[in-house]
Amino acid sequence: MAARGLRATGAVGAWLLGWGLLLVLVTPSLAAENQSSPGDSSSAGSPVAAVEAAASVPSSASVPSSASVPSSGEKSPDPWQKMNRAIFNFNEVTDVYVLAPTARGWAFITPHFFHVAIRNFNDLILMPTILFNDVLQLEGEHAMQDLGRLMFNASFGLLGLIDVATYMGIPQNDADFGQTLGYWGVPSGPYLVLPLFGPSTVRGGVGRLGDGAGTFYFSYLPIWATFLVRGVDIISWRSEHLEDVDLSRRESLDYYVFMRDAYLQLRRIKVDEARGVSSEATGEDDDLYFYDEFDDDEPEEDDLETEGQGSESRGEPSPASSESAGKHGS
Amino acid sequence: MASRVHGGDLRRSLQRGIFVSLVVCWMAPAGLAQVADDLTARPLEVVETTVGEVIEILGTPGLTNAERRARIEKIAFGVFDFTTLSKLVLARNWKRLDKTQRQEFIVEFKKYLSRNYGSRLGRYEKADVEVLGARVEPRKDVTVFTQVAGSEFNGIEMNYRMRLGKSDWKVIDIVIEGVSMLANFRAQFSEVIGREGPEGLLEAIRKRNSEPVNSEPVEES
Repeated sequence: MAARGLRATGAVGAWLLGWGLLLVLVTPSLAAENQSSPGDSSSAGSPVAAVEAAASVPSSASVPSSASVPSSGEKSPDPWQKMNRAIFNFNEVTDVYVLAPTARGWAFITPHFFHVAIRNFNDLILMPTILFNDVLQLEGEHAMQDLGRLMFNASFGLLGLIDVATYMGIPQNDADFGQTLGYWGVPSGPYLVLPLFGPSTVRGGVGRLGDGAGTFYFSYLPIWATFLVRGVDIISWRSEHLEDVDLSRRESLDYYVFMRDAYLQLRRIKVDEARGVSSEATGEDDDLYFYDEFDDDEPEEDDLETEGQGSESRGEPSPASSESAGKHGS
Repeated sequence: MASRVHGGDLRRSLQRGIFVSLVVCWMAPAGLAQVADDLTARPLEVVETTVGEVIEILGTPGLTNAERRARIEKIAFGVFDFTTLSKLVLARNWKRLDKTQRQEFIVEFKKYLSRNYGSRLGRYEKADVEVLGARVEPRKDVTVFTQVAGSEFNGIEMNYRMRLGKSDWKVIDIVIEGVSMLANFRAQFSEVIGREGPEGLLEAIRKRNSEPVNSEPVEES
């Protein structure tokens, strides 16, 4: 999705931006586990942060030991889970009772090509933001492509209603200020669910405000026009994803975690792409795909017996150590 | 001096050295590529066959959504390595399950995953899937790259992580647009186990599996 800039005007925007940056800076222990920086991917390296994070999540603190630490590495990306869940639930209610029904109605009365036209129009509106971030990420080629997009779609594309650039073979790039911050090494900070805007991180939230500056021309329009344009885009977008969202809600065991993980994975990829590193270079995959201690599963009967009496702390180091041993072995 | 006396020898041995190293340089990549081809041939074939079957089902006229789903679910039963997947998805939590729980988890997860796979792919009507290629991963895993062509999902990348099991290459992860299903399930399962323990997780999956496949959209999550 293209970045949806929050309309940040003047002093308020600057104040929030500063506040957000401050938040990133005062959470160094959490920031240290920034997943996109290649050096930190050893996961087992930050047990302290993991314990801290686990301790700061009241909802799961009552559960004994290792269970509350997400197993995909020992880092918790979500130390503010309680607050996030509350906001997430608020967003869900808003979606279920306001946005989704509106989108359903919208889908009913408008044909698909109309949605596409709206999508294209909004892509054009947001293009300066993307262009801006291309430049900040030193992506010369992308910047040229996006400039070409902007010009062709604005002219031949009848003010963006038709995406002629795609027909001409100009690829659509996507860049936002959160990604730019990641490109320049700003850590993502903790996961953060924004009211109405949904999943983000501290860095992503700051990025949103930054992207607001890219759509400065909205400030020349009356406020209702801004809301109309953005609102129609959001409703139209939502109407294209009615089934996706329903499916995900229905099938996931924990929709909140489903969204969080999908969001964090996607963001990490975007930032990695911008930085030109791939996941295999960071060895991240090893955490996911290899668990060598399973090989000696069977002779561990007595291990299981004692498990109940809080033996996790004993069992804990084995995955990481055997895993890293295996890593070097291969 | 020595070089002058043995000039011819030196030149000849140099020439031979260069020739040998050229041959080696020329052969080596070809040889490596050959090894890579050998490794990826079968996984590619498995994905191509599976994708072909799925597309055929999607293209069969007159099927209801439920029928289509059910048939794709059946295919999913064959292509995933559920035991490995179960271990990987639970990661360290695997040890918290006792023997019967593990067995039950594998069975329920199999059902759960096949349902998900079926309901996702069941929507890709009018879509075609191109198998783009494969890459050898660490420890001889293979990733097969595919892309959806046509339909509203045009251009979506769907990559299959494959591993050689006891009998054949099996899928151990599907990565859609860079989002790993395995990682996503792991995060969710870890959360549920953390909150409610292994039995809670089993209960939650059982509940999902028992829900009708074609139910109306659920409004509350």
